[in-house]
Parts: sequence; C-alpha cells; structure tokens
Amino acid sequence: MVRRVAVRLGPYVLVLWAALTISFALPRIAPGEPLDYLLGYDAGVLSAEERSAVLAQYGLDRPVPEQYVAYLAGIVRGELGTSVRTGRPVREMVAGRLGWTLALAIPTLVLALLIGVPLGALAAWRRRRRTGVALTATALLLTSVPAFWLGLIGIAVFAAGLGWFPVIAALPLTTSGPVVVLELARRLALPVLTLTVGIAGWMLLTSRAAVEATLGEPYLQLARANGIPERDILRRHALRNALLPVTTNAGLTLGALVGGVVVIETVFSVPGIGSLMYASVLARDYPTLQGAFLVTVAAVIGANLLADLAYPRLDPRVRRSGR
Amino acid sequence: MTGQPDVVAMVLAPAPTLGRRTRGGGRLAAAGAATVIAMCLLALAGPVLVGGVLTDGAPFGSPSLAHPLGTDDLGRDMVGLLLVGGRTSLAIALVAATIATVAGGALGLTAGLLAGRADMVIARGLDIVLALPFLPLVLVVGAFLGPGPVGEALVIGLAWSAHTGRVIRSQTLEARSRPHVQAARAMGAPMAWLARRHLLPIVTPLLVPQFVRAAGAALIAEASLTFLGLGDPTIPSWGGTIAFGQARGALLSGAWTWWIVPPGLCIALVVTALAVTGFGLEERVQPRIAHWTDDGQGRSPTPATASMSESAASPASAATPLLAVTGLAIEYATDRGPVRAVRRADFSVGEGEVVGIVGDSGSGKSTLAMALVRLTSSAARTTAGSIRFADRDLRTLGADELRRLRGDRIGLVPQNAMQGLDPVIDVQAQVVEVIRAHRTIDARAAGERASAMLRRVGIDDARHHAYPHELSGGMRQRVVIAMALVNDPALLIADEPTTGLDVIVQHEIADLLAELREGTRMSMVIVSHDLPTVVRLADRILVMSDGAIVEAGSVNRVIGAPEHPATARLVRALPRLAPTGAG
Repeated sequence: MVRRVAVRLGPYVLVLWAALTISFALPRIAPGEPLDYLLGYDAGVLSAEERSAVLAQYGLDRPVPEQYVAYLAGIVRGELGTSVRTGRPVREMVAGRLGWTLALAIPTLVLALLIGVPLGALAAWRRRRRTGVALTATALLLTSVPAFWLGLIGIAVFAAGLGWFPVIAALPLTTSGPVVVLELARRLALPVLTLTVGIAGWMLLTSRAAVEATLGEPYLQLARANGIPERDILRRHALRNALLPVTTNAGLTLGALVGGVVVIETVFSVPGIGSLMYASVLARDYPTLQGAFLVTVAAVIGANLLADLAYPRLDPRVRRSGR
Repeated sequence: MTGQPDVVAMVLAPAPTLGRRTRGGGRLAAAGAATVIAMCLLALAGPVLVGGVLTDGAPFGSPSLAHPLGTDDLGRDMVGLLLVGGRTSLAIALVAATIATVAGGALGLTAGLLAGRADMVIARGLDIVLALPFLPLVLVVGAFLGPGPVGEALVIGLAWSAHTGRVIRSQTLEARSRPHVQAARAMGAPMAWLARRHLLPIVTPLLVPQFVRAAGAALIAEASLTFLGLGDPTIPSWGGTIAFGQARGALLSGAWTWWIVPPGLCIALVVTALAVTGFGLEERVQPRIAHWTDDGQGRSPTPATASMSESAASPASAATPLLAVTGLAIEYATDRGPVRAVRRADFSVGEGEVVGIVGDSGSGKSTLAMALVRLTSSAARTTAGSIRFADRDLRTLGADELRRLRGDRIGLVPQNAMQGLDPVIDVQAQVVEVIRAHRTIDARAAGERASAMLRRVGIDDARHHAYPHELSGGMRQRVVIAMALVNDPALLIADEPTTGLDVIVQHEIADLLAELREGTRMSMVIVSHDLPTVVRLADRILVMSDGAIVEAGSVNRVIGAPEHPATARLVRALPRLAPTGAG
C-alpha cells in the first residue's frame, strides 16, 4: 500500500521539488546578489552593520546547503516569505486570491472540455471532409491568437463598446448578499469566455489527435462489421478510448490553462493569483512572485494527480491489474 | 503506463491531416512558409522604406493619408512602429526557436541514441520541465533575469526545449526500432555508425517542423511576457505596442481599432502561418494512418459490361440462392497504379449452405469476403460485378441500408477480430450494443439476450462482465462469434476464424461453428488458409489463386480429385489424418 502510493506520488513530488529548487536557486544565480531580491531594492545602499543584520535575519550568512534545507523546511511549514510590496506574509496574499483564480479556471476548463473534446472527435472523424478541415483550421487559428489580445478586443467591443459586461471583473466592495453570485457570474463571463476560446482550441487539437490515433484500431473495424451506426462508433468506441490519452495528457492542458489565467486576470483586473504575479513583476516583489509560482505549480500538480486517480475508472486494464 | 503511444509526443506533434495527402501538405507548408518569410522581409526592409518610426504626427491621431494606421500617444506613426516592432518580436521568436531546437534536439537525440539509463534520466528531466506550467515558469525566471529581449529569448528558448526534446527523443526511439536499423544493430554495427548512417538522416529532417512549432509558441510567449512587463519598454515590439495601447486608454477611446488590433493580427497571422507550415511539414515526414471504411461506392453503380451476360444467365438455377456474386472485380490503388486483387469472381451460396474459400495468402480470398459487405480497406475499389443478397445488390445498396444488414442479417467475423474487441468495454455490453444497434429493445432484455448468446458460445456467466484483456484468445473469439450471431443472421461470413489460435482451440472454434449452425437455416462463408477447418465445416469449396476462383465443387470432389495445380498443392499440405469424408 505504502509502496504503491509512493510509486504513484513519486513523479508529482519530483516536479514539486524541482519547482522549489528552481525557486531557491533563482535569486542565488540571477545577476546581483540574493539580498537584492529579498529586499526588492539594491542591497548596496545598506551600511555594513545593517547588511550583516539583514543577512543573519534571512539566514543568508550560512552555507548554501544549510540555507537549502532551511528553505525546504520552511516550505513544509507553509512559510512562503514576506511580500516586499505590502509587508504581509505571501501565504496570506496568495490564499486570499486563490478563490478568484479557481472561479475563473474551473468554468473555463469545463466549458473548454465540453466544446473542445466533441468537436475534436468530429474533426478527426471527418478529417478528409470539409467539416474536419474547417474545424482543425479554426482551432489552429484560435490557438494562434494571443489570449491577452483577445481579452483586450473583448473589452473594447463587448464591455466598452456594447456595454454588455463590466470592464473590470473585480467586485465592488458594496456588493453583498445573494446578489454576489449573480454579479460574480456577470463579471467573470467575459474573462471566462475569452479564455475558453484558446483552451477549447487546444482541447480540440488534443482530442482530435487522440481520436485520430484510434482510427486504425481493430475495434472500430469490428464495430463496423457489426453494423454499429457511425455516430455510436465515434461516441462509444473512438471517443471513449481517446479519453485515455486526453486524460494522461491533462498536465499540458492544465499548464496552458494556467498560462492563460495569468494573462486574462491581468487584462480583466481579476484579483487572482495571475494578476498578483503581474503586480509582483512590476513591483520587483520577488518573494510574492515565487510564492505565487509555487502555489500555481502545486495547483497544476494537484489537478494532474486527480486526473491520474480518475484514470483507472476510464481504463479497466489499469483498474484490475492495479489491485 | 498502459503501453499506449507516447501521448506527449503525439499531442505536441499530432499526425497531421489538414488538407489532402502529401501534395496538399506541401502546398500548405509552402503557403505558410511564404507568409512567414514575407512578414520577416517586411519587418527587415519595411522600416528602411518608410524611414523608421516617424514622430511627426499629432498624439492620438486617427488614421489619415500621412499615417494610415494613425499615431500613438507620442505622435509616432503606427505603420513604422508596427514594422520596427515586428523586427523585435520576430527576432526574439526566431532566436528562442533556435535555442529550443538546438538544446532540445541535442537532449532528445542523446536520450534516444544512448537509451537505457541515460535516456531515463533525460526523459524524466524533460517530463519535469513539461509538468511545470510554461508561462508562469518563464515569467518567474524572466523576472529574475530582468526585463529585455535577450532574457526573453533565452528563457522561452530553454523552457521550450523540453517540448522539442520530448518529441525528438520519441522520434529517435521510433527510428531505432525500424526494421533496417534493428537489422544493422543485430549484425553488430556500432552505435556511432548507426547514428551517423541511419538515425541522423531520419531524425534531422524532423527538427524542421519542431523549429517551426517552437517559433510559433515563442512568438506568443514573447508577446505575453512583454505584455506582462518583461519587455524593454524602449524597444518597440508587437506585444509592447498592445500593452502601451491599453495603458494609454486606447480601449475606451476607440483608438484600439488601429492601435491594438493591427499588432495582434500580425502575431496571429505569423503564428497561424507557422502552425500551418508545421502541419504541412509533418504531413510529409510522418506516415499516414490506414483505416477501414465503407468505400462509399454505394450510390455510384458503374454499369459493368462483363456482368451483363452473367445476370441474364443466373435465373436458370433452380432456387434463387441467398447470395449470388457475379463478375466481381476488385482493385487496390498503389503508388504504382491499380493492382488487381480479385480478377473475376462468380459464385453463389444457397440457403443453409456452407461455402469454404481457400487459397494461399495473397490469393485475394479475404479481400473478396470483405468486399461482399464493402468493408475493404480504403485503398480497395470494387470495379465491376454485382453482389445479390436476398434480392438486393450489396454493391449499390445505400451505405446506411448496408450498415443495417451488417451484424443483423449478415453476421461477420473479421480477420483477427479477437484483437478487435473494445478494450475498455465489458464483453456483455459489446454484445448488447450489437443487439441494440439493430433492434428496439430495452437494456435489460438485451442484456439477457446477450448473456444467453454468450452461454451458447461457451462462456460461463462469471465471465460475462469481463473485459477483453481478462480473456484468452479463444474466449475472445467466442465473444466475437456471439456478437456475429446474436441477431440470428441468415448469412455468416467468417474470415480466418481460427487463425492465430493454438491447435486445440482451433478445433474447439471449428466445432463451435458447426454446432451453432445445427438446426438453423443459416448459410456460411468460411475463408481460411487452413484447409482442415474448411473441410470440417464446408459443403462446397472454392479455391482461389492469384485473384481468381480456379476451382469449385463439393468438398469430396475437390479434395478427392483436385483439378487445378493450386488445389493440388493445398491438398498435398493437408495432414494425413484429417477427416476427408466430411459433408
């Protein structure tokens, strides 16, 4: 049992460890000295005493391996450092924004799955016909458009121009009571829709590739031999089997989603983790940037793990042999 | 994890089918590449032609003759800004793509060539980088390197090299597994020689589409990073122009149509052109998937002169046979033009009769059997003849009407069908699906009917909800037979029903088919290169050789006194103890 869990979790722990190590190494190998990145300004202006005091405070006077261990131990205790910009713990700042990011990411993911996967299957099925070529070309075009630009155009046309949506997604402080949910939906509609365009395009290309890989499979030929209607062959056999690589591939999709979230939050001023990263880049608030990055990686890994756990439900070959 | 193909590579470099065939792919690639090159030339030469970024207009100017795309907040001409900005954006994208291709190509090739432990370490490392979300990763690393085009290109290139490396690795491993490389290895060729002589020539061309892909991803990433504040604000770029436009309120003032739209369109145009180029290039370097379809000739009957005399002669036979094939000819389309698979086939199957079709491999017997229900591979075409089944011509029947016959009036056991059960659906559900494809019946009744059929083919109840991988080859073949017979077909066509099974199981399956036929009026067509099985089951035998039926007659007559050399050859190979007195 323990062994199986370890084997299962191993790759995820490894990715998390890699992200932590990158995060630890960056201030130490980037131009300048580590202290600059912790303080957010040039450490050269400090006097010698101030300097050694600050170094001691952050443990930077100790050998690097020791710093590394202390860093990892701190992360395990949930310490993400202190924001240079606000002076608040990074953990608090990130936690307060996670909800917004999830409110943006989850509906987008669901919509993109519902739109992209069936259309991708159709594109593979009709790949030599006009439908398939048109769908694939559209998806290529949609994934070729920068998400932030699409968001800006969306604001100009639908928010500023037609006035259908608010320009800024964040809730006014005066909103309270049950209206919040409705108001939230209205404010997040445009960001979700613009983000969905690109992610659905990506899903379409992914599931198209997966369904296409099943087209040469003998079970489709057997289904045809038994007179199963084409629509059912696509739905019950091709698409069902294509879900397997689509699921194993969830990591890349989630990565694309998170990348889109960062720019879309910035465009629509959604107070989530992505816009926190943007604000931190501008303010040279490195501890916050690193903290937000780590939380993002953890979220992607967590979601990926969920997909991995769901996998045996989709593939009986793994289900039974895993017991 | 489950022996699937490398899905990461599959999705990053999907088997391309946009457009038609290789030539279409080439045209697409050419059109895409031409667009990209045109945009690059424009960015290189354009600023010289228009005299760089002119700052001679009024701030926030609308489009005019002097400034076709208006001016920005500093009165700079947007056309010049767009051209100069293109230089920055395209240069960063190309440099990043070069870094990604060189670094990723080196990693992927090293992993693929060394294999074993080194491959494991590199592949695991690439997987880790791939598991990190791309944009947040480059944003964080880029922030530490500081804003500016050099850092952007470096970070994007290195991060993307994981994608390139992953694809190149799996393509190198694929190249290694090709037969001629394996053969050279088996003969003791040193790896260095193999790499130079065989693998690099295969893999190097594959770097080109990867470079194109990387360039497209890098252009979008560069624009996003610049928009997020990692560009150098003093150097114009497409992403930077968009960011400035937003910061200066272009969205609300209406200036967005000439300030924000054009640079975004430029990015989208180049990225799309790159994507199309990549698709087209991959189309040329990757093998296409062969798959089986209805050949769709149902609605276009070609009047075949050869079959005219035949159809006039056929009513002479006593009772109308269940299946009557006249003058059937089938061709395969190949690179060297059409090849005749079946030259001319005439035969009939009476009600309740079992006809065996035997012949060497390549004699056309399987093609003939599958062509009866139009399930040949897409390369095969029926060029002449007719297939009458119970007063209908299967050759000209509409696709959906034919679909209704398959699995209902005509049961089919395709070749290697036991490998053809759907791996993720339990066997009873697969039988149920066949029932419900042809009958309106509720799920429960269908389940009972399916279970009854599974019992008849000798699968006990405990295994009815098993998945195919949990059953032996013989058991799976029984399931396939259950699927073919569950709707009580008038005709069963079985293509090599015993091939691929061990000898005892072959006998069991042959016995099962004989048993299932007893007490019914079902006709059968059994195609096999295994003469004993056919002898055991058939009333009549057709011998095929080189695409033609060379001999036909009762089992006793054909086995006892073969007339054609091909028949004689098959009979000589028959084991002495085989029962020759069947039928």
